[in-house]
Amino acid sequence: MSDSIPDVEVKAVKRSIWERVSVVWLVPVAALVIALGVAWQSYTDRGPVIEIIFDNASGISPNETELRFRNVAVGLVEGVSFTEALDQVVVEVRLDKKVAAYVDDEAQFWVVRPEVTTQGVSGLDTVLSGVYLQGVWDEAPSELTYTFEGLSEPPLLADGRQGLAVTLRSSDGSLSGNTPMLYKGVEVGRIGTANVSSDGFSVEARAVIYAPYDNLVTDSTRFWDTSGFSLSIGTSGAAVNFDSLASLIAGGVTFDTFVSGAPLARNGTVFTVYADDSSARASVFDRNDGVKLDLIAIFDGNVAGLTTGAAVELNGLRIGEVSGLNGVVETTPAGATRVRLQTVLSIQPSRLGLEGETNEEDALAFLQGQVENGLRARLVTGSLLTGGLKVQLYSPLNVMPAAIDMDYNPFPRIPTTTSDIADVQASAQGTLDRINNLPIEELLQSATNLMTNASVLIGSADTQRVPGDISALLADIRAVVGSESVQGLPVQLSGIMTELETTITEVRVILATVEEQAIVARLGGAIDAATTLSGQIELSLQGVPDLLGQVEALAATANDLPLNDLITQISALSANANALLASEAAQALPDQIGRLTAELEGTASEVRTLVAGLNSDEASARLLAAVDAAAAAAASLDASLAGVPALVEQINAVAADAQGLELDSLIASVTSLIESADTLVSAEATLALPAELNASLAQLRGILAELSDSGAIENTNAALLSARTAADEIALAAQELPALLERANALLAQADTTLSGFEDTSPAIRDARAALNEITRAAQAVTSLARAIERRPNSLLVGR
Amino acid sequence: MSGDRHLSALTARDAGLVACRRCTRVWPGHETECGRCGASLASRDDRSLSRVWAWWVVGLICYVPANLYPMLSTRTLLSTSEATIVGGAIELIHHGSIGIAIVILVASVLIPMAKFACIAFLALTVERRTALSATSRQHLYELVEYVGRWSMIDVFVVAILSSLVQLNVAATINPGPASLAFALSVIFTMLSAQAFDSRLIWDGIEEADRPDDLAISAAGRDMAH
Repeated sequence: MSDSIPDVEVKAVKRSIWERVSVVWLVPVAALVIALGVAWQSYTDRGPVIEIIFDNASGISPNETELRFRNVAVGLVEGVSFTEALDQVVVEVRLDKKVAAYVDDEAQFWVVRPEVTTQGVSGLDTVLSGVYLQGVWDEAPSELTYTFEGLSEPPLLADGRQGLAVTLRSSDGSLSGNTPMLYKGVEVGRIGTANVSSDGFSVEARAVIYAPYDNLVTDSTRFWDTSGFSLSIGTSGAAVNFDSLASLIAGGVTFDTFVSGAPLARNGTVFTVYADDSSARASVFDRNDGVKLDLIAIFDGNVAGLTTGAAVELNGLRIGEVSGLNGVVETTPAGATRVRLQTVLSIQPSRLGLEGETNEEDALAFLQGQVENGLRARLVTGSLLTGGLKVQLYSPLNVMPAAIDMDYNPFPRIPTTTSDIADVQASAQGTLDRINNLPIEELLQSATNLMTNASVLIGSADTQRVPGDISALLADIRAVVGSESVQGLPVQLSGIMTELETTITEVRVILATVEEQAIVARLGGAIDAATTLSGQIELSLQGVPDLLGQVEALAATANDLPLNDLITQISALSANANALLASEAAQALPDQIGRLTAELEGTASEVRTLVAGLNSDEASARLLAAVDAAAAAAASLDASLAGVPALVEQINAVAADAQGLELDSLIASVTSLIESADTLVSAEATLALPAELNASLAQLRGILAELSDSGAIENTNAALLSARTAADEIALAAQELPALLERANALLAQADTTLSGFEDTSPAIRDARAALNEITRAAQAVTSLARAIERRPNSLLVGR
Repeated sequence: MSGDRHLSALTARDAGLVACRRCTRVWPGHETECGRCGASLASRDDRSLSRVWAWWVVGLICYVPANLYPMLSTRTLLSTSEATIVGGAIELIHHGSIGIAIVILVASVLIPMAKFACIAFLALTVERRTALSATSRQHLYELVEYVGRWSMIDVFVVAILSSLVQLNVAATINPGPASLAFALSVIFTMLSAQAFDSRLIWDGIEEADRPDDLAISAAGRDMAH
């Protein structure tokens, strides 16, 4: 039995389940527990899903785009879908549980994208990381809302900033959106996007003023636009005003509280934005506060000149202003369409003088009653100068019954009547037409003829011969000319010229005073007076050709003078003259010349005194004192001016008399003296002869000088002064002046040629040249005046 | 057929012997401890299947997050992208790298799934007759045990990439939670395969042939006597 294999004890043991199950089973159990635990935790930690509706989901991608609150991620976009109408995008965001309680219906969401504006660059980090959603909500937990409307742009009070939210309104375009709000140059708030208000007449924008600056805003705070720059010219000089460079580029609105004591502004208050600082300040004292009653008035016809801000007046009292202007297309009963002007009248009921607390309804009822009694709106001229219009509430006679159209959209419509617009332009045009009709051309033609005749006179062979004949005599009388009296002659002559210039200057001053006073004081009346004056000037100018004719005749007379005979006789005398030159009478000769010149100067002084008296007594005093009498003063001036040619004519007559009387008698005397000379040449009496001869030569020279001065200078000056007066009236005719001046230049050139034949060293020739130079200078002065007028014809009207 | 071949063999248990599984010394059947190496002796590990199923279940639990969570998290300068195993393979196909996609799909999806199926099949069929012969099942078991380690290829790829691509700002690759889960899943399935006592495959056949077996052993004893 020992070699037999013992039976293996096969135990069929029934073990308990705990013994059969391996301890390894703890591992999957633990794994399961852990997995379930993790699943449960992540489930309970999950926040709610909210839906935010955007217009577009540019850059938003599921499982990537984050929702941030104060730049901390508090959620993740889980899906992007569309609304049922497919017009908007629904972004589903899984919120963190810890912030979910705060996301109530006041929460705001927007997409942060990179943005480049004039204010700077923002959201630059999103260029790399992609866009993200930003949310803002308050710190008070409340009921969760699941659907939100996303904002298209960041709110003004982002990132939990506190501040005052107000609405800014402007009706004149001085409000631009997305600009900073400045206070004394510091940015204290922002202005959101500007929108046109619902009634279409103004622009509104939301704005915030950040804490703590919101304490600066009260109900009486005024806002104004600081963008751009303004140029003002006043008594203190020119000033260019602009704020910071940033606001120059981007614009901006600033504010200030000019009046203290008003309560702090509350959220939602509406403020008006004024165009500039000064109008904002002015508005403080404007009782603009309180309700406003808006009315529509529709006007016919051309109403250029009506602007917003124009006054609305009732019985002369300003009760409101025009706050809006636009055109409306109306269809007439005949079927045609026409455009009419629709204006919005903002009336302040508080100014209607109604008793008690006035409100819109009371004011409207009051106006309704007035309209039934015949009150109508019409346009009247507000300013003659600018042609601006204003609206007047007015009760015309015999008016068709009408009422305020209460159902008119957007505001009640008040009936209108025919406008009363004074046409200033038409009156001015009529005046200019009359000036245009003045016979300026004829006047210039006469002056040209005069110059031509003068040129012929000087250019004639007789005149040319004079220098040759005279030169011998001149050699003899050089000593006489060299005397002190003769030397003093040019000074006196230049004194005359100076006085003449002074006279002309004073006349100009008078004219300038007249023009200035007339324009400043009363344009309308002055224009009428100027019209009358023009007519009178026209009449007086018609007399000028006659004057010129006289001058011409005088010149002809001068041309016919028996100079040659005289010169011949003088030449015969020359031989004997040498002995007589040293006589005392010859020395006395210059004194006579001096006296004559003094007389001439006295005459010129009288003219000047006359003009000065005109300036001080008649013209200036009257014009300054009584502007209403401008027409009368102008008439007086006209009369005075008419007297000047007469005066000149008298001077001419005197000269002519002098010519007729003294020349003949003197020549006769000389002739008789010559006859005696032959016998008495060696006698003592011959010593007296030179005195006579020299006296006669002095007379001759005086006459020639007078001829030159009176005929050439004064008459030419008078003629040119008249021509200037005429040219002052209109620039077109002034173009004729250069031709005239060319004539004058030709004349002067000929005179110069003539004088060239003279010996340069002779003092008399130098004096004559100096006199001619004076003429040349005077002519140049006239030339420059004419050019100035030609350049600026309007200077006639503005008085410069 | 094959039964005939097995019938000719004498099992250790039938011979009243038990082999040490550590040092392979054969001891009499009643011994409970190996006199040479000290390991405990058991003719059959009757808790084997329990352990197999335990590891199998935990492996399967780990395999679920391994496929749901991202395997790789790639963060570049501009974007962060995460890819699961299958998602990454599909992305590779879209980029035209079909070969690499096939390698990943085979190593990370096909082989682990096949392992789960094979182990479950073996564990279920160990005490029953099936159409598959015991030899084939033994081959299958050896195959499962051999191939199992290659499933870690995906984890290795992630580990290498994560350690190599750490360019702080420009690009960073980090292992996702799925890589840990996948590694655990592979480990647990390998443990499951190891816990399987392959001797049980053959026991089923012998029990099915028990009457013949008894007759032979009786005859043998008779002959011995």
